[in-house]
Amino acid sequence: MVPFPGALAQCDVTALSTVLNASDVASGKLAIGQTLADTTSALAVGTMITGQISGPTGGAGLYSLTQQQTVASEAMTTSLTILAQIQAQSASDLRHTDYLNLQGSHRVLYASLDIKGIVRVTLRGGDLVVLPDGSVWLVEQPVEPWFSSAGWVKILITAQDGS
Amino acid sequence: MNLHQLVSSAIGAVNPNQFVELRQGIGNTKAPDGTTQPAYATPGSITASIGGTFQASCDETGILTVISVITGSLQSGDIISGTDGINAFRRVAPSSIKSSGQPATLALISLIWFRSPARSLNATSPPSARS
Repeated sequence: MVPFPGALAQCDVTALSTVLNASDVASGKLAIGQTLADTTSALAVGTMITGQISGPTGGAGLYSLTQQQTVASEAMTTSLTILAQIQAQSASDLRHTDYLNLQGSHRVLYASLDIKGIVRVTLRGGDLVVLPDGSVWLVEQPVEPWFSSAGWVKILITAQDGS
Repeated sequence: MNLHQLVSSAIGAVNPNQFVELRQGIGNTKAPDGTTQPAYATPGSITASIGGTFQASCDETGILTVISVITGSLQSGDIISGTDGINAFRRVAPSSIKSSGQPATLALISLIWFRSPARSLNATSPPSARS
């Protein structure tokens, strides 16, 4: 196309954008890495939040996205999916849970994300993990919390009754 | 030494990584009766838009005037395109936009517009020479 000066009559203009304009956050908290979904299929599959541009942290505001698109204002849901390795407890893990007197069904999970257990002093509950079979597990304790230095964590999870 | 990084590929060969859903704790919520429930970042429920559609025009100086916002909002870096059936443009919105962010009734942005084959923008009218 060649630049050409002139006038454009009144017309419809479409803006393809990588900016999410969240006008309301009814529940949850928006964060980097979360995936968006909707029921109208207007959203491109796999659209992910890559950063926050403006607004209170995790609240209504502007967020940058992975995919350029145009979506009229609608209800959306957010989720966070990560790649993790699930393992049975090692002998030392079994001793650890025994010393802590933890009951239940346990697994250990390796992931490259800062996953946290309960922090009583900040009134923060442990994170929940939903495994591929739909079972819900509570992060009991970050056994090896090396995310800030090595970029990965090993966490101890316990099966929960429902969600 | 990051021993996990050294052996993770070998472990992954026999015990592949899996996609799991994570619900990060964000504190708690207090019900009217005083009971507290843990709160999680996801799954979340929001109302949002991406990009938008507008009624606009472009004058001889290359200023795009958004007359009204039909849906969404206009942001810096958006790919904006439109056609009046004969003339058309497709440009990246510049870094400075008046009334950016929330839906605005008027936004002035400076751009060079193009006369292009209308078919490239799915216009209904064929291109014609400018008088």
